[in-house]
Amino acid sequence: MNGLRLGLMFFFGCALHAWLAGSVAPLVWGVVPHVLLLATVAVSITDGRRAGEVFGFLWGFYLDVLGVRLFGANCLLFTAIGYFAGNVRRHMDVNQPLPHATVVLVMTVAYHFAYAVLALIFSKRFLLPGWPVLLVQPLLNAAVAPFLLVLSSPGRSRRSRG
Amino acid sequence: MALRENREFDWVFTILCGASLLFLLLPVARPIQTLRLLASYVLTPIPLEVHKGAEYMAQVPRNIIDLLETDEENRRLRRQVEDQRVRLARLESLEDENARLRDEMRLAPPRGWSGLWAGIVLRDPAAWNRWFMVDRGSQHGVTERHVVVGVEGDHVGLVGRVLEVGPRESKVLLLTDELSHVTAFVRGTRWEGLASGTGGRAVQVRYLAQEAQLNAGDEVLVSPVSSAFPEGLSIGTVSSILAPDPILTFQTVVVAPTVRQEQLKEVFLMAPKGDPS
Repeated sequence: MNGLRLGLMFFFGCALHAWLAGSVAPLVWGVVPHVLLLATVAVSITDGRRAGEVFGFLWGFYLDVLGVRLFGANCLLFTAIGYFAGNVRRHMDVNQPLPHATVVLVMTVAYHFAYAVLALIFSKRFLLPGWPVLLVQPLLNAAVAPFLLVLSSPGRSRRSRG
Repeated sequence: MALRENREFDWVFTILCGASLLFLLLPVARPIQTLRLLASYVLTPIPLEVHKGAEYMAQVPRNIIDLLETDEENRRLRRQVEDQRVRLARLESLEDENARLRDEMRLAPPRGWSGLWAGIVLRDPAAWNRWFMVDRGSQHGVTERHVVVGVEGDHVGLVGRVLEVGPRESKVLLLTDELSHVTAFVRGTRWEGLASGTGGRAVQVRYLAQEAQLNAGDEVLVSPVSSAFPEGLSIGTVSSILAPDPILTFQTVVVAPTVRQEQLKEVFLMAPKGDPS
C-alpha cells in the first residue's frame, strides 16, 4: 500500500461521506450508509488491522473536526472498529458477504451505543442518533458493506478466493 | 503476516487510542485546539467542495436539456433570420421600385426641398382636423420649424407644420386648425390674403381685396412673403366665395385643401429654409 493510494483512499472516503451526508441524506431523512465506518471495516479486512486502525483514526479525526462536540470520540471509536474488524477476521471468513455484513451490522450498532456512552461520560448526555438512524442504518450498512468490500479491493478478494 | 500482527504488541492501537483519549480529556487544551484549527483548514474544504461539485453535477442534466433547447431555438432563429433576409431583400427591391415610381409620378419633393418622410402614427378622433402624430422626432432631425407637406395623387400641398417635437415622434398642427395662419395668394393674380383653419375640413382666406375677381376653382398658393412656409406651395382651391360684408372692406373665400389630410398615411417633413436636414 503506497502513500498515494493511502492519500487517495482517505480523501475519497471523506468526499464520499461528505456527498452522502450533504446531498443525499436530506432526501432520505438522514438515513444513509455510514460510509467511513464501512470503509474502516473494509480496510481492516483487506489491508490488515493496523491499516484499519490508522484509517479509522484519520477518518474519525475528520468526523471530529467537522463535528461540534466530543472531539476525539470518533477517533477512538473508529480506531477501535479498525482494531476489532482486524481481529475478527481471524475467527471468520469476513471476505464472504454474510459474515462481513454481520460484522458491519454489529459494529454499527456498537458504534452508536459506544458514542452515546462516551457522550454520557464526557458531556453528561446520552447522545443516541435517533431511532430512524439507529434502526435503519445498521441494516443499510450491512446491505452495502459487501459491495463496498468488493469495490475497495477486488484484487485482494480474488487472491483470497484463490 | 496477519498472525505476526496479532501476536505483536499493538503499539499503533495504543498510541491512537491514547491520542483519542487525550482529545476527549483535554478538548480545550491549546495544542489540541491548535491541531483542531489546523486540521479544520485542511479538512473543512472537503465537504464544501464536494457540495459545490454535487450541486454542479445535479445541474448537469438541466444544463444539457437547456443546451439542447438552446440549440433547437438557435436553429429556429437561424431559419427566421434567413427568412428575414429574404424579406429584407424583397423590401429593398420594393423600396427601389417605390422610389422609381415616385419619381415617374412626380411625387418626389420638389427640387431644392430637403427633409424626410414620416408615417402618421396617431390621429385624435376628437381633433381630426387639428393635429396628428408622426413617427419622426428630434432624433431624426425634426424641429418645430419643419413644414409638413402631403402628396395625394398628382397633387402636392401644404398640410401643416410641426408643433411639438419628441425624441422619436412629432405632433403636426394641421392647416385646418384654427390656430394655423398662412399668407396666401391666388394664382395668376396679385391678390393676397391670410389663409386660416376653420377646425373643419376647409380653410378660409380672408383679407382679400374687395375688387379681387375670384372664381371657384382658383388655386391658392403660399405667398412669397411667408417666412415660415415655402413660396408657391399649394394650399387648395377656392370652393366658394362668401357674400361680401357691407361693413368690411375685404372679402373671404372658402378653400378646399389640395391635400385631404385624412387620406394621408405619410407626409414629408420639409426642413425650414436654410436648414440642410
